[in-house]
Amino acid sequence: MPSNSDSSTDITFLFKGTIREVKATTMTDVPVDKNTVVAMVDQVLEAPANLSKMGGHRVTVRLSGRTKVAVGDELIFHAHGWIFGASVAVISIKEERVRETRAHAALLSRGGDPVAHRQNRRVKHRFNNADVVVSGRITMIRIPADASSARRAATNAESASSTPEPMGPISEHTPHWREAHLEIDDVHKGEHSSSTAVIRFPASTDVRWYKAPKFEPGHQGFFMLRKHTSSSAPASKGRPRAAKKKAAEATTSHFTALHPNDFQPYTQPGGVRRIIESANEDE
Amino acid sequence: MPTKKKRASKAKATKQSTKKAGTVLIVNMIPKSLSGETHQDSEPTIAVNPKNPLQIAASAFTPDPSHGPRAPIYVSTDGGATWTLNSIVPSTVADGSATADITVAFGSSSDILYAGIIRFPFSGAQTRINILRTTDFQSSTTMKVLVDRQGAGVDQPYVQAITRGGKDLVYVGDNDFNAPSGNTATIDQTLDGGASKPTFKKIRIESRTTSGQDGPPVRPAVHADGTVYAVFHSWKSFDNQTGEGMADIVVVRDDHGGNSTKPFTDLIDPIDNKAGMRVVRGAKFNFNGEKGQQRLGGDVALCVDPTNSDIIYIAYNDDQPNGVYALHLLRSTDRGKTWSPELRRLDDALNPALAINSAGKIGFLYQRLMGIGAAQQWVTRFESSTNGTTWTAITLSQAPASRPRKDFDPYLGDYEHLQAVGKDFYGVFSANNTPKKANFPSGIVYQRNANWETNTLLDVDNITPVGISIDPFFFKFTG
Repeated sequence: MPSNSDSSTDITFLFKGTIREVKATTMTDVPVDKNTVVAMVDQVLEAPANLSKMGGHRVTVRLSGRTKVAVGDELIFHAHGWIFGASVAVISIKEERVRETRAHAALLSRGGDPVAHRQNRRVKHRFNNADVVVSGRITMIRIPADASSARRAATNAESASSTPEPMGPISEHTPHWREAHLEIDDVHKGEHSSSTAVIRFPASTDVRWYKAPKFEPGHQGFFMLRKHTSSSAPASKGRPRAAKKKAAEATTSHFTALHPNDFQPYTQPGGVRRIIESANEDE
Repeated sequence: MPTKKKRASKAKATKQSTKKAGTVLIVNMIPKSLSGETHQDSEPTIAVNPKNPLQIAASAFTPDPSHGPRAPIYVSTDGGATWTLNSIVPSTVADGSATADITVAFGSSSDILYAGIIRFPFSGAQTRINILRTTDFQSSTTMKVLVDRQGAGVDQPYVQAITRGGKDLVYVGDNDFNAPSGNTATIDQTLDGGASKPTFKKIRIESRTTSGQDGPPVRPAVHADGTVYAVFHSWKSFDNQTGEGMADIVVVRDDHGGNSTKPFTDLIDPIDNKAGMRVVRGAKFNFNGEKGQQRLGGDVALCVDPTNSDIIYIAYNDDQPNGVYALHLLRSTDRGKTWSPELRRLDDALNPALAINSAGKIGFLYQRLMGIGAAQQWVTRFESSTNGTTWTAITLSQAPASRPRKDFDPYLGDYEHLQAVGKDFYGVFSANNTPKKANFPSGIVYQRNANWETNTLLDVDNITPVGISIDPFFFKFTG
């Protein structure tokens, strides 16, 4: 099983700023070196909610070290957070001098909500990394036959069968896997010949799993899925052909959708729908 | 073993401590620049640098506010008066890097901060333990990974450290599903945590047959004389359908810093001649239990008297008739061989944290569900005692148990933390952050913006209202 993590996290705060001080900080707790500057945030271009209101504020930036800067320089910073206190310090992965190019002009005149821009980028990243993107409807939830976890009965287990989960390592982080059976209306990315699919998801509300979509019968929308193969056949000694055949029979395929962006209801505008629509327009 | 001189000194110190009234400082740890945050910042721990108590690190389920690639720790360099978040923990989640468990501890004179975490990403149900360190918790450098293990999964790392002979002895209690025969209670231990590549040894501290595994909490406590204790939940039965089980509360001891031939076998239970004293047998628990939105399942805590390693206290929970979840406090004065009758019993209290200061005074932190129906409150209390029988209590926080609604488990945390440095107690707990004076009868300081007249949190613009959530709170009780 994959995690709900991905590598799209390195640059999360994109802003245009003007250097106000060099070898300086906005907070006493931030260590100062030759790459530490104070910048005025002129324009927030993409940001998570906690940084979206930094326009007009001075922040500390630890530069990448690849760009020489002076007071008054205007740059586009590709950054992520570092220290949050009375003020904010960020780490810049890359800086670009603001130039009169079409790309910069488009970026700086784009307008809109910087949080929505970031969210769209994240959805696109999940879309690009999904094995299959489909639309459809959840018809049934059940406990997987090969589930190997136990503990806390899931909060939404009422939609599952009454079959007890098998014993296994028990911890507060046990996922309590469930299987959602999906009837597929359309395939938007990847290849999937069947009209149905099985999505394995954690019913657990533990800190480890609470953000993963919790499917229920009747859920309809877009599903960005990753494929997995698991085998329930035990290792077998001797008679390799028979063992291989037995293992093949016991091998099952299923999908996961563990990231909160991996399911988007039909009622929600933008996001996956927009990606699919723009792909159709390109065709 | 203590000397007569040490005992006399402790008695004198204890007498003196009863004359002084303690003062308490309580600080909401969310920084001003994060005034708009509404995350459930539960399950806090704290590490005070004994060499420089102005330096304090803390942890909680707080994600990186900028959705960056590393998880944050809380940092204070002024003794807890103000706090910042510094994202230096290698654990990555796409929409807000955090850990699935984290505890922190300083070496007692090395200035090194250690952390035990469950690191993201990890595959499937198999939790991935990392043991980390940094020599500068203010820097932007990612904490160094000392141990990275997954296999069948490792749960709830709980780190403690002490500096002896110029070397950091680091003990991480965890529940390691890679252990053979279901003896999962484990101490990951190094005798030189500051070495360039410390060698960690996995010590299985369970000596008896279990129900297939032990429970999640394994809590070590270290004394400067080399005595190391640990308490854990030795599972004897578990019903997968109901979540109900029975456990023994077991204390183990090593008299040589864990460097014995057979580590953690110095305390023998005379009934079965096995290592580990079964202080309580057949404690009932329910892993599916919940009270006031907080999950239950069996809490344990342990502390050792810094003036006398013979003296230890444990706290543990069990299920009592009529749905009561009882918190018990016991003491041993002979290195765990015999135990006092119950010193304290608190119904529907949990998250015990214990520490003893340099005067031999014990501090006892817990959270208790009080009242009935809609009036139920989570009340966080700190109690202290010089003799274990007479206690002085102060209320740190009291707020409705039904608000805010839980986003995930655990609501307040599966633990909180208390540490003594010198005569002072330093603690951390998570609670409802409504800015209301009545919720903090011992006083409170907020860094984040709030209107105390309208009891409203405010965003960074100091105008826009922000919903209430669970925040971490630091406190210092001057002993």
